[in-house]
Amino acid sequence: MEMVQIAGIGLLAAILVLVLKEQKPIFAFLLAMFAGIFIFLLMVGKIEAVIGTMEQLAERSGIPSVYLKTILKMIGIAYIAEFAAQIIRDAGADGVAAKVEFAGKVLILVLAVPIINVIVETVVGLLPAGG
Amino acid sequence: MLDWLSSWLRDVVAVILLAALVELLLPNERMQRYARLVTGLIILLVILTPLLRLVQGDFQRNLEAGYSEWSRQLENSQAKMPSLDEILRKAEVAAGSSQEQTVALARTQLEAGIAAAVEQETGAGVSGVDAAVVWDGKGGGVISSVVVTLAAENGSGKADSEEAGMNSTAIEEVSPVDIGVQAEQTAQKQQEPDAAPEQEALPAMGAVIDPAAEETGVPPELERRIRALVSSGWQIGAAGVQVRQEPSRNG
Repeated sequence: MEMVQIAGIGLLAAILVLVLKEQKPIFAFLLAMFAGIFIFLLMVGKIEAVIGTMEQLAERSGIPSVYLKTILKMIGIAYIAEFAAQIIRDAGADGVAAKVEFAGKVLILVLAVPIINVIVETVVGLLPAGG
Repeated sequence: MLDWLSSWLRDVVAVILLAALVELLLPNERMQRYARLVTGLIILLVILTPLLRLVQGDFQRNLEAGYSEWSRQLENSQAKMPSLDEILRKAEVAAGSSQEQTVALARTQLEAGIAAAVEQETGAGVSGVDAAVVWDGKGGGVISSVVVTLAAENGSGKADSEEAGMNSTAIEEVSPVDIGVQAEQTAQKQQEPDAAPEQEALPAMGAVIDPAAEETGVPPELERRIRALVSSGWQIGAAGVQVRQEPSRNG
């Protein structure tokens, strides 16, 4: 029944935001932000379960922990960037939201650099053998 | 062989499953393209693992070393933005150096002021003033001692009168002494303007001339006047004022 609760919180927040927007737009924004944070925190626990499953899967299959760490970092960056960008977009600053998303993308790409390094090194090492 | 193949396949399947989960977990499409790149690279790495083991023995260690190196580099580049502590420390250093400059400036101005006043009041040529100032570190300071060096060609009657004046030693602690010792010297000091009236006031002021004054080559009368002038004008104890004579060039 959690879904019902969350839907209720969302609807309530939306109606209150509509009411407040006429009087005090800043409080409407704050309300929207806190509703968002509340729902996010409720769901973080569920995400934890999914991540735990992923860890188990990785452990059982013997995937190096580096890969899992990278993937988890990537998910975290994506969530935080997306969440912040949505709140900022709610406040009406689309440009700033785009910058936050851009930062998230850059940080995800930065995570890929060591992997790219290893692959490039391997390819370079293969070249004399192949030629 | 089959063992190795099955373990490799298991790895590949697990990573692909992970990648699918990650795609589901990601919040929106915009991030998905980037996440897909990273997961794709990881899948590629896992598929290539046998090849990598063949080519470079322990690529796993290379990868982890690369990660730690990379994060260290990132931390270093972030450290370029100095912390508040660092800024405060730098500010303290800067304030200290500016204080030092202030102290030096104040000291030179003080010395110039003393030299100008002595020259104006006594007519004696001053070649240098060395003021020792004790600073309390809070912007205040106390002048502990002043050494006034008179120019060599100052007193015409003095240069030939005192042979010992060549070595300009500082006057030591002023100690009471009977005036009779100075009797011969005062004869020469009469050449100085208004030397006589001040000669009377000499014991009263307590600034009694040391016999060592003979070695400084400074006429006691002139020295006493400079001493009185500097100590009254700058609130320095009379003992803190020293007058010396620069070695005369013609003597």
